[in-house]
Formats: sequence, structure tokens, C-alpha cells
Amino acid sequence: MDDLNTVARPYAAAAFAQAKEESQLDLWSEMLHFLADVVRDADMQAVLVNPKVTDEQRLTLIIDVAGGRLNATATNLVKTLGQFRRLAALPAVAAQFDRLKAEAEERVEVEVISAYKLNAKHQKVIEDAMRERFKRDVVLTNHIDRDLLAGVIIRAGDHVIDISARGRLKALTQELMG
Amino acid sequence: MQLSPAEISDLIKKKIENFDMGAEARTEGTVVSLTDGITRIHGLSDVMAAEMIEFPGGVYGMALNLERDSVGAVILGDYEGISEGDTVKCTGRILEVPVGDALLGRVVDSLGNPIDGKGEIATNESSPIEKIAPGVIDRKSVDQPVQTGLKAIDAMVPIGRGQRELIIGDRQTGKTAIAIDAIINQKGTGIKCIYVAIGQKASSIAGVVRKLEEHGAMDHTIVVAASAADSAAMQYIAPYAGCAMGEYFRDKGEDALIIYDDLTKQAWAYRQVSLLLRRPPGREAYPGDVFYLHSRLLERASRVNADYVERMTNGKVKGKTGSLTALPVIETQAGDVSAFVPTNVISITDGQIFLETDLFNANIRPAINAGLSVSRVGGAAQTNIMKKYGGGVRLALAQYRELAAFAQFASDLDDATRKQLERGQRVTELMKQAQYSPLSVAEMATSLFAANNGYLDDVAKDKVVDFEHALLAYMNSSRKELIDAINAEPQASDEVATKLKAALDDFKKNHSW
Ligand SMILES: Nc1ncnc2c1ncn2[C@@H]1O[C@H](COP(=O)(O)OP(=O)(O)OP(=O)(O)O)[C@@H](O)[C@H]1O
Ligand SMILES: [Mg+2]
Repeated sequence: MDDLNTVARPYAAAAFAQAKEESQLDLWSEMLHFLADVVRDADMQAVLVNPKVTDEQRLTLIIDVAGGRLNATATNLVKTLGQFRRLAALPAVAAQFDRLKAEAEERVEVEVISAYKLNAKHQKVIEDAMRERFKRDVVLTNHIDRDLLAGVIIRAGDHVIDISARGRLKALTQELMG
Repeated sequence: MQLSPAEISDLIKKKIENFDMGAEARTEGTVVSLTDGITRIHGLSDVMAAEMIEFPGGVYGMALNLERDSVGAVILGDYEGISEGDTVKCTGRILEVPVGDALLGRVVDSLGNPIDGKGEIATNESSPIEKIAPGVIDRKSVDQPVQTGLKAIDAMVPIGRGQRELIIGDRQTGKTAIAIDAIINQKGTGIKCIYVAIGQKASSIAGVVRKLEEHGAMDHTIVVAASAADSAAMQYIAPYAGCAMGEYFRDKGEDALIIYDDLTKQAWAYRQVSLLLRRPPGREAYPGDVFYLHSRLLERASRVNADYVERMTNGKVKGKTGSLTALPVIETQAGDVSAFVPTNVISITDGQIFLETDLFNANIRPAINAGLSVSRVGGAAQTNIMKKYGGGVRLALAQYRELAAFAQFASDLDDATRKQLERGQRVTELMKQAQYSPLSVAEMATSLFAANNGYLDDVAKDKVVDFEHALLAYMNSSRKELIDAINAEPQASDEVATKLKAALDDFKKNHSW
């Protein structure tokens, strides 16, 4: 996993530079995610690692599947990846591309996991706090996980703020046992 | 100890009351791979070098390699429960161990957890295991002795408070024995001892603890144990943990003695950790920083001045210096001191006690090689009487060994040479000392005085040990005031010399051995 990330870095940077030049950040993001999904597909995975399939065939297959969804430069990116046998890095390229994009747009994606659906007021409180903390625009998504019992877990990249009842109970258990 | 349910619920209530419910923001990561106690973690973007990280189930680790896409960390403790995909959290803290007087008499692991079954350790102080050693300004030169109670050492290679003196030798040459005797001899001196056992058999460690208990030495001693069965990471950090516990005493103006038994095994453990973390191997497959591994540890053993102590205690302790004396142990292979780790540690320390298999097998124990053993700073700390009476011993022994080698080929020797040989033989005999029988300064002085003034010359060579036994028994019963007086004020005055002379004359005339 970490290896693929390292491999993906220059490709993501190149894709991002190209997308900016074309002023097509959203389109590129879409294209890369589509490609990532294609590569993640179980059948496709089998093809990717099958030694009987030639590099040529693999490339043709992906470009065929992607059909008209790719513009010319994106097709070239896929070709380059194929040439260096790095097609498996596409999901990582897509993820890194998104990070670069968010960075450039001064935006941070915040995932809020809560036991119950957040109402508008709570959502706003969290958004404001996160905007203050990261000095960025906040894009908030809300997921429900009943197991939390109460409270929320706020996640932005690696940063995690756990103020759920479950998290606290866990910490308390550890405190009592340790 | 049986607790009633009411007591238990009370205990829990108290714990819950003290429980900090604050929301913590920390970065998380995911375990990507796990091999031999080393894990690679994806994420943890904010992690610091040597930061403690938390795995599920209360297991901790230490981040060692901070790379672009991943973090390499060692797991401290059981890693059976951890698996790929587990979430890892930063703690924002450097690895810490508990410190304080409550640790005395206890056996703990590298993290300071008690492993002697005597319950919790009642201390709420802790200290990071890695600290920068006191700077130049904070130090004071070494001028007070640490008495090991071993004649050979206190006479030939004296150790001062704050000194680092290496104990080096092949396996089974009595390295540990010297360290244990030194600890036992600190009973009643106020010097606190820390014995760090690294990579030894658990049975050996248990043996050491038992011996210390038998001789009433556990009361002033902390044992930090990372046995051969513990993970390489635990063996690697054990000396730093022990050092932090020792620094606690140093920083509040007391004296402490720490023994690292042994640093060879710690270097092996560190080599293992480093290779598994894929750091490039160098000489003897050790990583590039083994020198620093030991130098930063041994630099922390030092004598600090009163200003430093005052500052560290926020002015509570005034006008007292502190010290941490270190006796690192290194095991050599076939006496090879030019191997990588031995040369490193020799160059870091302020001298070495060199033990030899040949001497050990010839029943000369402690098997100290007088020619190769030195103490670079201890002389300044030696008591006056030991310096005066013990001064000639080293030279006599070193010359004797050389002469003895020559004398094997010579049929007739001149008188002076024969005399020197005979003197050497007797001094060699006199330097022998059984385990667990440390001597006081006065006792040592008496023995050395006897040798210096020819009282041994007419004692048969194989009777020297018996002679000394009988002499010391006589002194302790019939000349108790003299022994006490010397111990109280170890000065080599004319008066003391006259009294010793009188005692020895009386002993030789009226007693047998
Ligand atoms: N002064 C002594 N007189 C008699 N026996 C001794 C003396 N010193 C050590 N021994 C004995 O020699 C043996 C080896 O001693 P010790 O364990 O101290 O050596 P070591 O160098 O630490 O060994 P290892 O390499 O296994 O750690 C022990 O059985 C010990 O009892
Ligand atoms: Mg030993």
C-alpha cells in the first residue's frame, strides 16, 4: 500500500498539473476515479495480474472500458502507466489527485460519523469549528453509525477527534484495566 | 489481598472521577504490515520521532522511522493481538517511565511496569526515557569515591561518583559478579543502585535478584529486566529506562549507581530492530548510529553541580551535588577488544576493568588484568589511604606478570628479581576475593599495608588468602576501634601507620593462620 503511494506520487502531480493547465480539475477527478473503480474491479484485477495477458491487451481493455469518458491527455496518462506497468497505482493516483485538488482549493473534507443524523445547527457548529481549526473551507459529509451510542467522531485526513460515547467508554475501560 | 465488592466499586468510582474526559484530537494511521515486532503504518502525519503510539488493546509502540509515505515503529510488548488494518493513534508523548523512591526494591520491565508480583508502584512521577545529558556548565568534576568493596578495584582502578567505568571480558569471567558486589557494598552509603539486565536468561536475573535480597541490597536497588525472552525493542530501550530512573536521584542531589548488564546484547537487539526497519547495515551489520546509541546513554552518567540540582528541584534542594555513576558491561569474544562495539564503548567510558578467562581459570578471581585495566578519572576520587597504600599494587602486579613470563626460561635469578617475583605472587594472591564479601576501606587498607610492609614475605604463597582472613577477623574483633577510626576518616597518617604496625606485629606473633 505504501509502495503504491510512492509510485503514484509523480503521476498524481503530473495529472494535477495537466488538469490545472486545462482548467478541468473536476473532470480530471471524475476521470481518475472512474479509472480507479475500473482497476479495483475484481475481474479487472485478475486480468492485471494474469501473466498470459500482454501489456498491450491490458491497456486496450482499460481504454475500451473507459470508452469516451477519457479526454486525450487522460488517455495518454493511462498509456504511460501501462507502459511502465503501473496501472495498479491508479486508485492511489486518484486519491492523491483529490488531496492536491483540495489543497489547491483551500478546502478540507470532513467526515462526521454520528450515532444519529446531525441537524443543521450541529452541522454548522462542527463546520465552524473545523473551519477555524484547519483555516480552510469545510466540505462536510455525515455518516450514521449507531454503534457510537452518542456523540460524534470527526475525521479529516489523518486527524481524528473522537467525542463519541463509544470512544470514551473504550478509553475508560483501558484506564480501569491498565 | 481480598477486596470486598464495596471496596472495588469505591476504587472504580475514584478512578472514574479522576478520568480525564477531554476530547482529544489526534492523528490516526493504519497498520500496513507487521513483522517480528516491527510495523509499518500508513498515516500518522503528525507523529514525532520516538513518540509513543497506541495500538488497539492498550499496546504501545514507538515511532522510529518517519518516512514519506509510512512510519516504521516497534511494538513494545505483546504484538500477537495486532493485525493488519488496525487503527493506530498518536499520543503526543515521548516514551516515559515511572521514576521515584517507590521503585526501590522492585523489579520492573523496560516500561517501568512491575513484574515482581508485589502490586502497583506508588509513584506519580515519570520521566522520558530519552533525555539530553547535562551540559558542560552543569557538571562538576569527579572527586568522591564509589567503593566497590573489591580490593583489586578500589586499589587499582578506583571509581568516582559520576564516572563511567566499563567492565569488559569474555563470557563467564565474573563481570556480573563485580557489578553485584558493587551494589551490595552500597548498603548504608546512600547510593541508590539500578541494575539493568538486558538479554539475560530470566533464570539468571532471578538469581541476581535473590542474591541481592539475601544480602539486604534490594532496599536500595531497582532492577530493570529485559530478558532474552522479551522483544528486541524492550531490550533496546531498557538501558534508557533505567537511566531515567537513575537520573531522578542525580537530579535531586543524591548519588546513584547504574549497571548495564550488558550493552553487547543491547547492541544486538538494536541491530535487529534496525535491520527489520530496513536501515542500511554497516560494519558487523550494525546500523550507522551504534556509537551514538551508547554515547548518548553513557553521557547521561555524570556528576552535576549544586546549581543544576537547585534548578532541577525548583530550589528545594540547595548546595548538594548529584551523581549517576555507570558501570556498563561488555562481553567480548575470545578477548577481542578491537571488535566494533567494544572499541566504541572503551572510547566512550572513563576507563575499563578488563577481565580475562586465563586468570579466571587460574583461580585468580576477580580475574582483573592489572596491565590493561585503567581508571582515567577515579584517582582524583580515591580515598587518601587507598591511594597511599594501594598505589604500588598495580605496578607490582603488572611488572610481576612480565617478569614471571621471563622467569620461566631463566634457571638462576638474581636476588632482586626473585624478590620481586615473590612479592608479585603474594600480591596476586592478596587481590583474590570471594563473591558477596565486600570489604570496608579499613579492611582493605590493612591488607594492603601488610603487603607493602613485608608482612606477607614469610607467609607461604598458598597461605596468603588464609592469612588475610585470619588477619581481618583479628582486626574486627581485637582492633575494632582502629578499623572504625580508619573508616570514619580514611587518612594515611603516621599515627594510623603506627597503629597498623602494632596490630600486625601483635597478630603475627600471637596468632596462627
Ligand atoms: N570472585 C569470585 N570468586 C569465586 N567465584 C566467582 C567470582 N566471581 C565470579 N565467580 C563465579 O564465576 C561464574 C561466572 O560469574 P559471572 O556470572 O559473574 O560471570 P559473567 O562474566 O557475568 O558471565 P556471563 O558472560 O554469563 O554474563 C559464576 O558462577 C560466579 O559465581
Ligand atoms: Mg553476566
